[in-house]
Amino acid sequence: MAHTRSDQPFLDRARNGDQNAFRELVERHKLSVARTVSGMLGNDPDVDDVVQEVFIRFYQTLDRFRGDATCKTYLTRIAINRSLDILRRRKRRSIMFLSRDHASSYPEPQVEDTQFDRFDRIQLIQSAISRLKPHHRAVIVLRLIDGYSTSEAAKILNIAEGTVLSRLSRATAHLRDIISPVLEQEM
Amino acid sequence: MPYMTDQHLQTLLHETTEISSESNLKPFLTDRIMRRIQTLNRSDEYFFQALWFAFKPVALASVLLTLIFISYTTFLSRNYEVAPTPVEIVFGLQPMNLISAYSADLDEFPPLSP
Repeated sequence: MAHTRSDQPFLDRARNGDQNAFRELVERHKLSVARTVSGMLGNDPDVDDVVQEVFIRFYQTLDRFRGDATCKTYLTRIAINRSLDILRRRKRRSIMFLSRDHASSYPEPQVEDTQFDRFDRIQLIQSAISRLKPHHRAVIVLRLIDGYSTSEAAKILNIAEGTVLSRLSRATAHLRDIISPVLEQEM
Repeated sequence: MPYMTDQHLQTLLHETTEISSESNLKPFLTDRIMRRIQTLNRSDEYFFQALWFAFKPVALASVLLTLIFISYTTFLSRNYEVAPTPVEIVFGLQPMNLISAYSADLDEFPPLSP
């Protein structure tokens, strides 16, 4: 949130059509948006497209953004909603074609007898996240990856704080169930 | 079975998303975003340009016809006995005053049948 205060002049200039100011906002927030989208979609080639769409949506709604939230929060909300749309669309498509869900295309977490290196650990975590329900995934991304507070996460997702806490508790338990046994085997 | 702490889980999640977000982004993201935004702006401009291009002949013909009409009515207004107002000149209206109103030619009306 280091840029929160100084975003305002760039926002004002971008609203008046200054594209260099908007470019600066993109530079500042692209990595945090990419992190949010990657958290939601996993290691996916669509991440780059979704990040682009998030900023284009932001540009189209610059006039409607009144500054009630910070620029980062606003972008995170767009990123989460767009990612949820994609996950829903994938689910619909997988039902239509009676194929396996994209998320379940990750391999089952398994440990090779040899080495359990960093790459394996990343695959394991991604596999675990992909097994979460989309709304549980959104809570995990906001609270544990993006570092938002419970009330901020509740505002972004437009749900009650209690719901955030219960989803977080269920999601973390689910992640632990998948990750812990594999990591303990490794150790 | 040792318990995995929230901190440990958070660190693992952070590490994973940091790596995957970097690897999923293609080069020159900012440039690509700005190019798409410029295309968006240009498509709006193209729309209005296309609209003007389509209606340009109609607009020019309308302006020409209006000028011809005004010139014609201005030319005719020189023959009026009473000086017409600018509105009457432009629209080709007959100037009206009390005398012309009372001296209307009643012969143009057909006689009333018994």
